[in-house]
Amino acid sequence: MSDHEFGGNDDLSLPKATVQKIVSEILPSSTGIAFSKEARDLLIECCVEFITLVSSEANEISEKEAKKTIACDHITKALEQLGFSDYVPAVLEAAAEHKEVQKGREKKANKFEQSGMTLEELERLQAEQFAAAAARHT
Amino acid sequence: MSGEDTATYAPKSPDLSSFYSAPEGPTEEAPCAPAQPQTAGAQPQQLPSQQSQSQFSPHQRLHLQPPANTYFPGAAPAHPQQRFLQQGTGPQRQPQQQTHQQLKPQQAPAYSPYFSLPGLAVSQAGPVYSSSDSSSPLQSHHSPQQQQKPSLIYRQQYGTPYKPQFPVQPAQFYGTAIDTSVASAPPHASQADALSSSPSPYTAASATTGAMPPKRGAAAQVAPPSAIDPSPVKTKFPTARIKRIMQADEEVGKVAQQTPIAVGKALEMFMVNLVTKSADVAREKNSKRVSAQMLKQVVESDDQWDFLRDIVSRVENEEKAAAAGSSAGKKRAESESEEEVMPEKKKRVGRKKKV
Repeated sequence: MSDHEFGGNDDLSLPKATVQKIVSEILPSSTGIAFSKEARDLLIECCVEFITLVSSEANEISEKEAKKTIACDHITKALEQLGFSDYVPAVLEAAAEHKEVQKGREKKANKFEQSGMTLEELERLQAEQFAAAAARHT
Repeated sequence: MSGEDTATYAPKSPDLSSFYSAPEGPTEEAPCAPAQPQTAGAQPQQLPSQQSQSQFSPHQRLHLQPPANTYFPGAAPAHPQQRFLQQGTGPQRQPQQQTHQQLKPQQAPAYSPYFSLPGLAVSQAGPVYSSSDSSSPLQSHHSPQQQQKPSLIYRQQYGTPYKPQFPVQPAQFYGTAIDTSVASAPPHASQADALSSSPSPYTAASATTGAMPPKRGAAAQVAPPSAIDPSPVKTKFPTARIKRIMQADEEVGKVAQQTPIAVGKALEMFMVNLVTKSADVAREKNSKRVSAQMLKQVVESDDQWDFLRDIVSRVENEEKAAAAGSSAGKKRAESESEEEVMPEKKKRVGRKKKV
């Protein structure tokens, strides 16, 4: 709905609710400090600008390396060049974490291993099912 | 009576039968496996030895916990003890296996046997304990740095689940008292869990889904080692959105799968930086609300943020324009120092540029 209302424009911003949630995670209510609406909107703009900045910097780096895809490496290099080198370790960690998750997913997707049956058993099962299907049809 | 014999955690021996029937429990050490009826008879005997032992073993602490636990009034969905008492063959097995597994770490200082079966623990654990049960093995498994923590966790978590063995016997003495302690045990365990593993937000998720690590579960398992940055932010930005924002720049072509995640993390840290700094400013000004002006002030305080200055000055203009109509005088009075003057100058510059 919001996509229709704001056209493509809203897509290029960050979801307000998410940003608000993160802000309140950074500033728990125990601190007694909250963000005003205006400050939050401004923060969102800053975030978008940050993404744009980092990605264009990373894009330049990747072009220099004659790469067509922006990889994690380029992001960390861009961060270093932009004076955010203190973010790099955490970023690397998050990326590694994601890789790990990806691995887990692949494992999960491997139905063959999950089935716990041997190839022969599976083949037999398949043949049985084919036969059953054929019997149903005739 | 057979004090020495029973002193070695006798209660464990009875339930072996369940392991033999259980498909996944081969690794548990099982001295002997009496039939279940015997189990019922055997326990009362072991009771005294257990208690005497508890006087100098860590279990005493555990034993003392029940009263404390009663302060946590959570309703426990499942009561392992009750099942135990009922001596039903089917459901009984689960609690027994659990106590077995939970005992192990206490016996052996090395958790190695435990590590070998994180999946096992998950799959066998009952619905209540699964959250506390599986999370710590997983955490410790993945993060050697937290070796010390797990020991704590064991004491807290396994302390309470261990009770299942006590209540069985005390039941005969204290009657109803057990029920409360039992009922409160699971909440306590989960609380301890929450406390001890606060850095990892998805512990519960990882526990419930531990057997087959989905996105969140795996994230939690890896998250604990993040000694680099105990970020308070648990919410993640939608990666699709980040990617779209990145690719809004026409020059940006393909983006690797991990890139938006890396950017998202960087963005998170960026936000933490900005937000905490602007909160500091708000505190200095004795304000409870971070206004856009404060954010602007932060941005202008450091060259690191210079790429934001355009944005900040633009928004500030609108802000001031709105504020000027209503209570410009007040605002000026509030912040009469240079900050006030500086923004104004910038505003003008910004306006000229804009218009």
